[in-house]
Amino acid sequence: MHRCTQSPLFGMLFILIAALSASANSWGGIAVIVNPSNPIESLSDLEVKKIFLGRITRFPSTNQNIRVLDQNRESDIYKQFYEQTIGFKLSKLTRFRAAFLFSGDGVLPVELSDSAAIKEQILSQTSAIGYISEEHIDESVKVIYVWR
Amino acid sequence: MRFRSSANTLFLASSLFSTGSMLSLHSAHATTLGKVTLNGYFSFEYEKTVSGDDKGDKAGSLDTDLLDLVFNIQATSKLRIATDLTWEHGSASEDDRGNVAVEYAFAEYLINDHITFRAGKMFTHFGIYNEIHTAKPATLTVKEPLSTNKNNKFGSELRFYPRWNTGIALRGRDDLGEANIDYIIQLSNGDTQSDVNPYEEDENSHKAVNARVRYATLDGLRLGLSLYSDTMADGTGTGEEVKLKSYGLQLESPLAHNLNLELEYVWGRVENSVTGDELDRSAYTLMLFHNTTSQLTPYVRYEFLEPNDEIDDDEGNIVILGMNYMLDKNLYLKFELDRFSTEAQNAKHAGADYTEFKSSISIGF
Repeated sequence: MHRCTQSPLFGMLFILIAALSASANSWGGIAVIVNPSNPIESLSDLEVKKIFLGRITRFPSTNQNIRVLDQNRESDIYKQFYEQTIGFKLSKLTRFRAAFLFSGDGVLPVELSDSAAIKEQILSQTSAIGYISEEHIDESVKVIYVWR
Repeated sequence: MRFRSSANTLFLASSLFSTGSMLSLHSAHATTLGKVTLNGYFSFEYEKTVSGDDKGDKAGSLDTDLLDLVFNIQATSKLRIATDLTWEHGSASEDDRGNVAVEYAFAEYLINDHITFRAGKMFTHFGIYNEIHTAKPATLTVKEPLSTNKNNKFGSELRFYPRWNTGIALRGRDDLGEANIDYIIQLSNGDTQSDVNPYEEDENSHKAVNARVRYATLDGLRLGLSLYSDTMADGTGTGEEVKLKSYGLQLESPLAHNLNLELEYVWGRVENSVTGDELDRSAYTLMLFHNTTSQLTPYVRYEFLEPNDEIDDDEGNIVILGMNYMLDKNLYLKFELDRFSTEAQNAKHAGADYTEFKSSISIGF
């Protein structure tokens, strides 16, 4: 009887913990991806930061120019990528990018609606680089950096 | 009457805020049409003199400040054509109102990250603010600094350097580990004081030289040095020429506790080539701002101009207190009070002291 009264409680706790774990796992990491034909195999933290801040316009050790793709600016992954991976607060990033654009320094990243659109562009452009959540990785793209 | 003026100002400020609040902005996308990318911004302003001498905008004015479009055309992987077009103050050419300007229009050929060639009309890349003077989403304040950037409207006879130039440029950048260094060298027609269009024709054989080098780290520190040198006709038709030299120092740095600093200092000399008369002048802009939240940034800016160091009482200064609020991802509201103070011999304001309220909405896209 005693065991009987405890079982539902343990069961509920187990379900709660499992749900929380699943939720944490679904967030996962962020993968930086390129077209499979891109010769780049990996990037360092510093190279990723410089590429997404426009300070490098060619893939390292290649003559291949870079076309940066961004996730929707309203998305969580956009915020997470720039604030945590790149280390720029969004307000600072917005001013930084406005200065970059209006001074004539270069072109801003192309903003796409979601991970599927990023992968679609990556497939059609060898010069493209973008980021998606780890759970959206598949064999159609090459992962060159993962942030967790 | 004063109460009524203040009430009107408050009413218009709150209207401006409400208008901004009602705008529902979705994410700003760079619009792409194949090889062409379109960005830009719109800004709307209100300003009114609220106290002091009879200067500034006494009536209180609403201003369709700017519509700005930036096109980037990636013709090939190495060749980019870029232009920034502005329509200022609701331009209407038939009535000779407002202003339409090509802020820049150039072609750029990329050899690699270290070397890029550019030709066309471009900003004079001097210091922090000149190259972003139209970029209202990039600046916290409502207006660019007068003392360092529009000093001819604050007591100087000539600007420290022209806004734009037409010519050729070499620019590039290099990695220094966590930091990087970038440079630009521009060779151009320079400016004129006559009707000659310097973006089409040079009035003398001298070419202007501008150069800037900057050191930047990824955490936001940036230190730079600039130089501008030109010789131009003095505009009187006598054949006399004016030599213009300006040197600049810029510093942008994060400080402690979300506090940040921006400093631009310019020193310049104007020399008459026949008489040898020299005029030295200097100016600086110092701004502190605090990223209080991801949306709210209060700021204080102090500007100082010494138009001629041979004249004791011609100086001017401006103190600005304001706040920049990012209402949505690309929608900024700005409110500030600008206190202008000048000495008696100041050529433009002649001892005037007054305070203006300024506000704006700017929307980037």
